Amino acid sequence: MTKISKALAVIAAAAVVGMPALVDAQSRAGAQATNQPVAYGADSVEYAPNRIILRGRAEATQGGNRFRADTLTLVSGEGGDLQRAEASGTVYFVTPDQSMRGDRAVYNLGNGEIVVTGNVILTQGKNVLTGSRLVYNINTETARMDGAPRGAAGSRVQGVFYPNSN
Amino acid sequence: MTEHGEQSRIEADEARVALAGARWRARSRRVKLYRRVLPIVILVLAGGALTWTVFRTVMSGVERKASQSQEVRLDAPLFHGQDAQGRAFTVGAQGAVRDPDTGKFKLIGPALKLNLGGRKVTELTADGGIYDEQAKTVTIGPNVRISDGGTGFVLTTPEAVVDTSTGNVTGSKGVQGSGPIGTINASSYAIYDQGQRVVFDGAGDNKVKGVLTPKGSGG
Repeated sequence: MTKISKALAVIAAAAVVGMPALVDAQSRAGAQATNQPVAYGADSVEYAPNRIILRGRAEATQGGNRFRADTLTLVSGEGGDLQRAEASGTVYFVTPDQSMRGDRAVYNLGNGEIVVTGNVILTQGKNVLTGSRLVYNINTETARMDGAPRGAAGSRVQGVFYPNSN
Repeated sequence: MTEHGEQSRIEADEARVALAGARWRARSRRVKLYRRVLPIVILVLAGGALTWTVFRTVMSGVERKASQSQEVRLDAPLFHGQDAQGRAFTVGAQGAVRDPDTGKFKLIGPALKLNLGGRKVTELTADGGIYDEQAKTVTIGPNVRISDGGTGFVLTTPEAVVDTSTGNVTGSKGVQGSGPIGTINASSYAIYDQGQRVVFDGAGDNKVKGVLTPKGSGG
């Protein structure tokens, strides 16, 4: 079974039963992108204890991954190292292979996992997947899309896949 | 003999009368002279006194103004103060000149220390500056270097304005530096709460930019 057909089968099952769907993307590279320097930019940057708040066209880039939102909060641990990034507004998380969009997102640098919620759109090449909650791991490049917990019809996971597309 | 004696007495009386008349005329001339001279003397003295009074009044004003308009130069001054929360600060300099017109101090090589007594002191140095005691501000520049003890930021900027009543430091002429959020480049900045909170702003299309290096990245 190819990865696309496998994904289609999972999505179809999720759409039918209204349960969370699991999408496995290719698990490669994964070379701890979370350890690379983070370049950031915004109209305004506020530093407070254990917190950096980027407001207005906020953007953080780490390796080939780019995080963009209206407001982006970078949270540090007690040791001062970055722990997670919280984004709100129109959120975009773009990797070399995928692009995610949502209303909110939390990126955990410890395990490389990003959770995008609210009108989520995941695109890979021409393939598009929509849902309410997306969990994506940038190290393993695996993604899981969920529908709404008590899904109305519009909250189901939906997708369009193009066979043989990237 | 009798006639001769009578004649002598008459001549003596005439001589005495003439002498008395001469004395009277001399006294009369003196009185006449005094009547003319004394009013003049009185007028001169009164005029002199009035003139002297006016002169002293004018001169004291001029002297006061002159003393105020003199520049006051200080070598290695150190101004002490407290902000509204009672935190001590010092404004030191290699030299200072008080502007007589504005009362502001022009600082040469200023060095400020904020939040004295606290654990984290903010220090600022620059090439020059202006200390306005009335407005409670110190504006320093160029070549400002800020070492913020609260955050650990080390910033360089062309200008910094210190509000000595709040301890806040602001600047709007660009800033570069490094600190807990890596290297940073911004158009303006503000340091609040003794460095606990620092805000950087961009201007127009110029966003605030910086680079963070996570631990273990080797960067």
